[in-house]
Amino acid sequence: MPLLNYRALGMLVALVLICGVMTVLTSWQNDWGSPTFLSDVNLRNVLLQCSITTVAAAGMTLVIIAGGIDLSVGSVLALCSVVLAVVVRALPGLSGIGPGVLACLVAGAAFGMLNGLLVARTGAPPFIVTLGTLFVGRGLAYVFAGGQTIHVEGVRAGAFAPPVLITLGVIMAAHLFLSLTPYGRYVYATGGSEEAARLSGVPIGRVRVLTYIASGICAALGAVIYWLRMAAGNPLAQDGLELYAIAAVIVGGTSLSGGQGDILGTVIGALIMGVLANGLGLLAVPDYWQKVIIGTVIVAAVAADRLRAKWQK
Amino acid sequence: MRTLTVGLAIVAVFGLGVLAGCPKAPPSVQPPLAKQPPPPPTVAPAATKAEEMPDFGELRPAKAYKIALIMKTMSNPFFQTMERGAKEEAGKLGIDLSSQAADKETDDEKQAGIVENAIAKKVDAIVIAPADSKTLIPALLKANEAGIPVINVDNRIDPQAAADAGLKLVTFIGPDNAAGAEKAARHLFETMGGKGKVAMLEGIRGVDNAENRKQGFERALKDFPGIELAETQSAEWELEKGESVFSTMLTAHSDITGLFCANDMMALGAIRAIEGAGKKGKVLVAGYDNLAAAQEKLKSGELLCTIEQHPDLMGAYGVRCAVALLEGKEIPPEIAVPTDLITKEGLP
Repeated sequence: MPLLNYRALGMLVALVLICGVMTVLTSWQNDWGSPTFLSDVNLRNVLLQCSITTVAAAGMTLVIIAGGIDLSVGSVLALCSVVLAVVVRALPGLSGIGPGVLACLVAGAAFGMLNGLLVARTGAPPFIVTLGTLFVGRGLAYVFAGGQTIHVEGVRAGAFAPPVLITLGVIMAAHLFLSLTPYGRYVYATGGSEEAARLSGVPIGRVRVLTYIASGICAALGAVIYWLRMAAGNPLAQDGLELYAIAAVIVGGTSLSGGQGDILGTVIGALIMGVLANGLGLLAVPDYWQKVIIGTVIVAAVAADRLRAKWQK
Repeated sequence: MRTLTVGLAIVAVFGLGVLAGCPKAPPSVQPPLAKQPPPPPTVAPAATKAEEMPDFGELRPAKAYKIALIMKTMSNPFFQTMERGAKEEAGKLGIDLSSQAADKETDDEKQAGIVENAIAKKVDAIVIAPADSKTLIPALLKANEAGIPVINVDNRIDPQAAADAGLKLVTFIGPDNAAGAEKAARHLFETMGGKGKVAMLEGIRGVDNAENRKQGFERALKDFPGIELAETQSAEWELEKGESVFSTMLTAHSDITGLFCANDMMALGAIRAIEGAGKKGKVLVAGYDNLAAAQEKLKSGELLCTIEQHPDLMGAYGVRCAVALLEGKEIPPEIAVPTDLITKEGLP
């Protein structure tokens, strides 16, 4: 099973093309001077700005390949960010950072496990279960935060390397998990044909729960990145993140019906959306039109891919 | 094999990015000497007295400065009006203004991204209505490091948190809440004929604008010896609370004939309470914010007056201060935007 399929390759070409267009347009914007898009500062901005989506999308990829979906990631991120901030704040000085990050990861894993158990044990559709926990998570975040942003003092926020290193780590871990471990293969089997997987002895329930735990941990790592970027925990953070994460996964060539896809495709998908948002921002395209363009690209990417598959047959 | 190559390529892209970010040296966005703005003055965390917008004389900018106006969201009419004001001013001064906002009022991370993009574009100044009074500080610190002056409008960056983080802001341009409340209260007391019992519904206690509006109300009260204050309570900016708190007040003091509410939402709630108590037309209500729903009640006469905060002027002042600063003028640390009394007569 090739891990980076033709789809993802096509998307890689699209990514390069979009980068090219942004380079030319931002150069034109500077009267054909050096392109803002390719500047050192901006390339770092692109990676920073798509780090949270990429991390959430990596977890989402596992869930979707196994035939599920996780709509709760934005809420889980907010909840974890509040947990982190509350713990860091409760302990003196910077001694709370270690316990805070740990509590944040545990909260994410626990929430993911809750999602997974509800899906695996009750047989309720993942869309409905995680739609419900989307509200639960956001509500709990408000409760724990007392409805307010919690500023964490004394943290030198805004650094570049940590968020990008976390993102890189998540990408590598998820990629290796899917391609090298038996459980990685089970994930594909579960999403491909549940019945066949069951007959060949795949522990379907456990695989499901595992993918949701992974998604929860990814959301928690997203919360860590949010904290590194904003020096705060925020119950309002990343409302709507799930839609960007799902879009990145789909644009990256993973099938929404499960059984196929890969992490590297998702990374390309996240980069395409990140580069588009960043480039259109640099070009001062109004927010409304940015949405229209990004939406069009998502649909065009998937449609082009389906047409290509049709012609190949 | 191909899988591996592409995979490695992606890892390399991210990896290179990390390496590029490793050197501790600040990003190389030094503006050329000629247009280097004077260092932005620090706003002291202690409460500063808001001044009127200074008259900078006729500003003739040496060049078309690039100014970024960053707002919370374009789906709120408040910010559409702010953008319009800023654009008009930029047009007059021949400034290259780019205005942007996050999709949602609460999306601070997206707004931080917009700040980062403005830094990458090497704008000459940033004018920002921050989505959060604290979480934008790290992003704005990057602007400081890049030597780009930051002007804060509308929602104030927490002065204490800014000072702790070492963030320098040129100025804060916001509404003069106390003056606005005083205007509304005076109009209310005059309409009452300078005598009778009044009450006030406050916003969330301890919040800057709520406290300032209360001060304005109290200032007006001192000049009207015939007006007696029956009671003042917080209804936390909310419509429902406004209704329940004021109906309790009406029960306790049935002779109240005037009410000042620190925002229109509470005023709308209080109007319901008045109707519920069968006292329609017997209690004059003054509000604040000039909401569309409040204008309806102005027309029907159930609301006596409200206050317009002029977001267009916040946008315009922001641009004007940025240009003045870049032209080497002195900018006061806090500037108040005038407010207008809106009554039935003033409506279109």
